[in-house]
Amino acid sequence: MSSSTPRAGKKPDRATKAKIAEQRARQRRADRRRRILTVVGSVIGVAAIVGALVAIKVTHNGSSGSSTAVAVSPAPAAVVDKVTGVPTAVLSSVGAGAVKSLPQPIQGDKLTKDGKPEVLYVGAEYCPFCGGERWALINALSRFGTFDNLKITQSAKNDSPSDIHTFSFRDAKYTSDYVAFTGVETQTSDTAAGPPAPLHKLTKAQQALYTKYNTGGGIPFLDFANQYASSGASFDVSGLQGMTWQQIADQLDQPNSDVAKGIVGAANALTATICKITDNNPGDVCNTPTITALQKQLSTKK
Amino acid sequence: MAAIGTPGRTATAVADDGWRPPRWAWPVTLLLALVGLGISAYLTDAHYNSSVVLACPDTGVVNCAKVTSSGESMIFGVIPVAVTGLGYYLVVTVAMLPQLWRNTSPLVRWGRLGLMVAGMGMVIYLVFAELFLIDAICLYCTAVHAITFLLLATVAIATVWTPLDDVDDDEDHDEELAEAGPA
Repeated sequence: MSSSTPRAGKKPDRATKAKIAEQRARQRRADRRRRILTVVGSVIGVAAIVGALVAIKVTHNGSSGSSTAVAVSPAPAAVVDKVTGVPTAVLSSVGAGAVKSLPQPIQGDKLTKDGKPEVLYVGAEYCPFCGGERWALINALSRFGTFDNLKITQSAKNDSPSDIHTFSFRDAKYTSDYVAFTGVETQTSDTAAGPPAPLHKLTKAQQALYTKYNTGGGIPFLDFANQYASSGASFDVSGLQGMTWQQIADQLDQPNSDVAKGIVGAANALTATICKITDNNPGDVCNTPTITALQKQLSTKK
Repeated sequence: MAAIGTPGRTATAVADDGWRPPRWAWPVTLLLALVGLGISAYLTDAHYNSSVVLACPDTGVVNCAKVTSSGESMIFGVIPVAVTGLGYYLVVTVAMLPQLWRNTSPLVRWGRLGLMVAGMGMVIYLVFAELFLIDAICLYCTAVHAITFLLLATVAIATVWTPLDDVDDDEDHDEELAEAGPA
């Protein structure tokens, strides 16, 4: 024990009291400094995490020239509601809109699934024309049934037109009393490692139909129960370039917009074709002046 | 916990470990929280009101519309992140009120820090999503992220801060203890 330490019962002298007080004060200052340093260190650590994310991003972009990563994520309800809920008045007002090509008649045994006529889509997520066509196809098929688990994605950034904001059918489920739908996305939009990565593989039966009815080999390819088929986008999709999903969706109910004329016009044409294979069921969808007029053009318009 | 009156200033509650909030804590944090609340409200309004267009470029890396209409802008595809941010900042604003800063209860003191840590965790995820999933940055979101970081820093420091005059108080206390001698 130090000679300056007070003994029990004895009043410490002034120097001893001051020394004890100074020791305790020093201890408290040290504790305070340690606590603050711990906090400051932690805060710097958090900043470092964010900085590291930014650095990785900048480095990645620098090494690849431009970002090629494309996300696929659940479609926001606000966007899905818009594309599946275009008002009837707008559908009628747009009519054929800016549709450039209609499905062509083909000859074959009626393609069915679960006892219903089947629409087969073959496309790829990187493909900008598929990207535009999906908007129209989702709108058209939603008049006959319901989509679940739709995803949003973008077409390839290094294609032309580039970066079309669209949907993907990669995990989508479609239910309808009138028509069956199969969506095949053969490749993703991920071109980071070269060609787009493979995704869905065509079955032998699908490959046979694709080969037989799509002699040009283009995508998107649509087979309407082996009664009609189309290859390529039904409208000029370049107008969608630079627009977000919400911006596209917000223009669908504006009949004079270029977006509505393209997408809704194409959707009307696809609807007319689907009505052909469902024997015009349901009536409230198929027996409208717009659809009836488009059906008259189906076998004649190129 | 005990209340100690210090000459020349309002009596301030002091926690068992000697902590009491620094005087700068509530004005600084409340101001930051209110700014964060305002931006969150703007983002929420823009989410629900299509006539409100965020004053932000919509091409290139900085693209608010691309971020706020992305799949990542919805939690589980149902709850808008903007609404979550608004709700979060409402709670944060309440937590930064002077009445709650004066409350030295460990639940309030450490709960407030926990709130900021949770918010910062979400910010790190959202920054990751912007950079690597959406490939675009939203200026307003970034402003909220920066405010969340500043709030975390100030709240963390204020949570462990022991004012220097407390050391003097402790020295007085030590003297009293020394006068009394060992138990």
